[in-house]
Amino acid sequence: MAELRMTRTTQAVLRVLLEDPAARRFGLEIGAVTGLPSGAIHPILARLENLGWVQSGWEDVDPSATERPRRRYYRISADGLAAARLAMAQAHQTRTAPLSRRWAVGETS
Amino acid sequence: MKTVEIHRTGYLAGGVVAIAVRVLPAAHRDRYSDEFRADLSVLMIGRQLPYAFGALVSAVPLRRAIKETDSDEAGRSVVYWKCRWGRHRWVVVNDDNPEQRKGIHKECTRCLKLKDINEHDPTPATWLGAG
Repeated sequence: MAELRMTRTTQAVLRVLLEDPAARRFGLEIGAVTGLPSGAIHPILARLENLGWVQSGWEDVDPSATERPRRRYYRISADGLAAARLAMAQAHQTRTAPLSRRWAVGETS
Repeated sequence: MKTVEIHRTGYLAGGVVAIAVRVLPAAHRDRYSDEFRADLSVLMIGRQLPYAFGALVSAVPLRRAIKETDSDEAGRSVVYWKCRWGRHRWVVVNDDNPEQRKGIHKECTRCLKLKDINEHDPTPATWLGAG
């Protein structure tokens, strides 16, 4: 299985999806919430989907009735929920570890 | 319920998205075409072109993301041009199960294509024991 690099953009996307794991969000919406450019979202979602962390599905509407193509909705999968939370916790730990270690030895000046 | 205002997709933005989708593997084009056009439809006309160019810029990373974990695609990602031209690098391999084949067969060391030994092949082969 492919490795996932927990970049800041990946973390931002995961954070949005983990906010409400039951909620379905579409790409543009995730981009709007994270503030990331439109081009940054879909490669991350594709990686997360291929890892099985995220599942996607088409909006259940008739495109002729809505006069627009169906949206592709993304949500965190049941399997991905624990893995994503763990990865986020580890990423957070990695980001804060050097600072906390400095605090522990009193080098806070 | 939240209502979404639908905007007509601009020709230029639609064209840029169409180009972006062409970069993706054929099996995924329809999906992302619909996805991008659905996004464009809710954007104001002035914001459609930046979105479309964003999709174009991300097409190569998206293609890479799709392909790197798509095992079928990954298997085909290495193109053995010599094999495509029929210039395989055959080696003769002893079969593990001679009941299925005739004791030995040829196998291309590049693309792993199998060939029965009695098929005519003018290129010389080297022997390789499988035991």
